[in-house]
Amino acid sequence: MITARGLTFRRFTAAEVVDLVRSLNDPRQSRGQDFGFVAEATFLRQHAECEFVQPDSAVLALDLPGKLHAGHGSWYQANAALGTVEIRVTLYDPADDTVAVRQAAYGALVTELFARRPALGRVQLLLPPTDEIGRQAASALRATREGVLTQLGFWDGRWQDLELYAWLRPEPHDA
Amino acid sequence: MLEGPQLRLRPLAARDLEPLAALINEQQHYGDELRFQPWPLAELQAGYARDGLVGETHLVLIVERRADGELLGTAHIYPAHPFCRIPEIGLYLYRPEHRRRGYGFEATALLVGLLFATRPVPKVQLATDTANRLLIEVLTHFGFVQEAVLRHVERRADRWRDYAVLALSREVFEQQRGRPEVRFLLDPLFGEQPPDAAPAPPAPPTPRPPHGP
Repeated sequence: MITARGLTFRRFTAAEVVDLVRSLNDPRQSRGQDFGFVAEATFLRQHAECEFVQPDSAVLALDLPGKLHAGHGSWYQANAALGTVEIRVTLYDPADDTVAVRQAAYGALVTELFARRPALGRVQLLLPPTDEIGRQAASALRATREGVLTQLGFWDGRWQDLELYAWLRPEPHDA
Repeated sequence: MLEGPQLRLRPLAARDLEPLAALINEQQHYGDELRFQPWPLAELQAGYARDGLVGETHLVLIVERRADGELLGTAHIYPAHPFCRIPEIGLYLYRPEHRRRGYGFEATALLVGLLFATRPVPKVQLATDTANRLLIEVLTHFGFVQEAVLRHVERRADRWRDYAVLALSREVFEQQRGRPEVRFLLDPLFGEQPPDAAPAPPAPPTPRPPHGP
């Protein structure tokens, strides 16, 4: 369990998998990802096996104050050859999706990853250029914009650019 | 199988496994710009037994010299990102004496030609250590554009290493196909006849790539 500024990341319950699958299959919420259609049975089986927590990746339910499973957060290997690690946060209700919530959620995941993995030098985030909330949250957390990966994602029937942000592990002299 | 004037790129065969493992695991040949990633023979054998290292999303090819069949390295295709369909290529010429001979340029051209000929993707991506200046120059010469620099990807020799992400769009690739040093490599992939019946091999490009990422 990860807690920060009133929000909590925790393991999914089996009953919550339905909402997760619905979110992943909703084009408005899955932008930047290209899963194709996600089958509920597949996710239920994976949940039964590992509750979506594996050595190199995790998908965690996100609770807000007074609201269980308001969204989810995840980390995973972004590039198999480089071993880069990426995070992602999704809020199901647009009313919950604020800069403050995203900032707290990104911050919690980045802190957790650097604590868990001492050799990890960076944590990255991909955002659609239209994701102003994500951009403001990343900037507030002093993420560096490392570039624009053109035509990397596919949604709304066309290839779309994604902006790459990253946090670096603080060096001892930064403290 | 892909063939250029100097190189042949082909799937692995069982006979390749031992010499390939020996080649990959020669740590003394890795320079400052090349990350040493050992690949134990047992893991290589297990991967080969599983799918021949040819899957829906990944592909490993042997790079060998056509003239004498010498094993030079490996070429890789894998997803640039787990949630996207864009392919990334990797090219490894393990021994220093096999670099700076134009092999990297030729293998890269063959790989991107294969991808654009067989997949409906708008671009091909590649990532390499920013210290690998020669490769970056060669790729830029080929039409790749640097889109991002990923900082602190790994810590090697007591310092952080940054990686450049370069991409070649289909539009630029189509323009590049008209260049003589590329056209003769790629026309066979696209089923087109070269402009001359027996074109002379073009001069090697300058600068030449040392090796891949």
